[in-house]
Amino acid sequence: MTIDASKFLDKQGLAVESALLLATAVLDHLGRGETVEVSMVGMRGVPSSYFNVLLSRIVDGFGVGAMDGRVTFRFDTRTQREIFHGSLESVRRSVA
Amino acid sequence: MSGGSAGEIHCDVDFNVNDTPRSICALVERLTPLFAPSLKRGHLDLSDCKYLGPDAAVIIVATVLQYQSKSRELRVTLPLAPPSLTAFCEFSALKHYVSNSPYPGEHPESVTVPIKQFAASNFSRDPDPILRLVRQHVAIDLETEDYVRVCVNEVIQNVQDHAKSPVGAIMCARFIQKSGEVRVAIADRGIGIAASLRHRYPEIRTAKQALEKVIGGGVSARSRPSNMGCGISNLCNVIVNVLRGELFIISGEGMADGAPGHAIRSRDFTAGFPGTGVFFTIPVT
Repeated sequence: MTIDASKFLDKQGLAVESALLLATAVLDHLGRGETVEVSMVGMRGVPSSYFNVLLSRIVDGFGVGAMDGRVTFRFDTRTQREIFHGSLESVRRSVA
Repeated sequence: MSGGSAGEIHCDVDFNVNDTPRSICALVERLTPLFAPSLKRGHLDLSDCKYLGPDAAVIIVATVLQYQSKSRELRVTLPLAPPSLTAFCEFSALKHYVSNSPYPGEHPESVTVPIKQFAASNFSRDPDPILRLVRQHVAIDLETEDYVRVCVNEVIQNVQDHAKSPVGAIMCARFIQKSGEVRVAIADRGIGIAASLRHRYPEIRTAKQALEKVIGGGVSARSRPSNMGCGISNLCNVIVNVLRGELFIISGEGMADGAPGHAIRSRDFTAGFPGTGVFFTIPVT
């Protein structure tokens, strides 16, 4: 299942609130036993808070192991990838 | 500085405030008497100043807005010359903010993104006014564009999450044609990074130490449970290491600056800034 992050934007464009909307959708699919690909294509200027919230929710719900295959991400800029990996490292550290 | 009429404090800024750390510090030091929370009326006289950039503009506007938020009065006398400076005061909206005069709208050949006050970041807004300005002058690639957005959003998200700023964040930017760079200035009038961290890290005694910690990453006030301490360290890494730009942060009694080839260095700033200011220059060509 591919989930398009750009379809889950808070009305005011707030990063944390948008991440919460996306997290709800991702958790829903994971709860049904599916694997999920999150497409970040077209998402610009995503700050670390966005990924912190999204990844924390996923890890809280399904453990840090969910990030090793059940949830994958597709990026269209190097920026997104770098900010994502910084957040993922922090989230992993926070549960270690 | 001098005492004015009926308990009014008068501050003269009779020097040019270009966009350098030294200049920002000089401005903040000069404004210090006006930062006193008990002061009811102040006068800031910029009439002998011949240059102001976005850095000065956001510091001045944040100060004016804080006065207004507490029903205090800060009169500002803007420069009447040279024409380039009076144009900056008009089209950057500095005049509008300090005197409530109507904003004339953006100048068609402007190199300035007008001053804007944010309560919160809106990371999906498009086109971002800074990028729109840059695109008017040069082509900008997708990666650089995304980095510029991330830098602005990391700063504004920090203000939203931690600063408790009564005026939100004030932002202004300028495209510098000669060097093909964009200068971005964002200031708040919040509690500062050290005060924000101290409840969780009582061992942090100075603003300089607080800056060192957040620049290193992994240290957060956790004002929201999802805060991981990535924001400022991402900002520093992106601006200095990836984009080869320059960065200056001033917060309370600390400041830090970084440039390509130099490790980011934190120092004491004894005059103190009541809030946090983040100023950076990014090459976009």
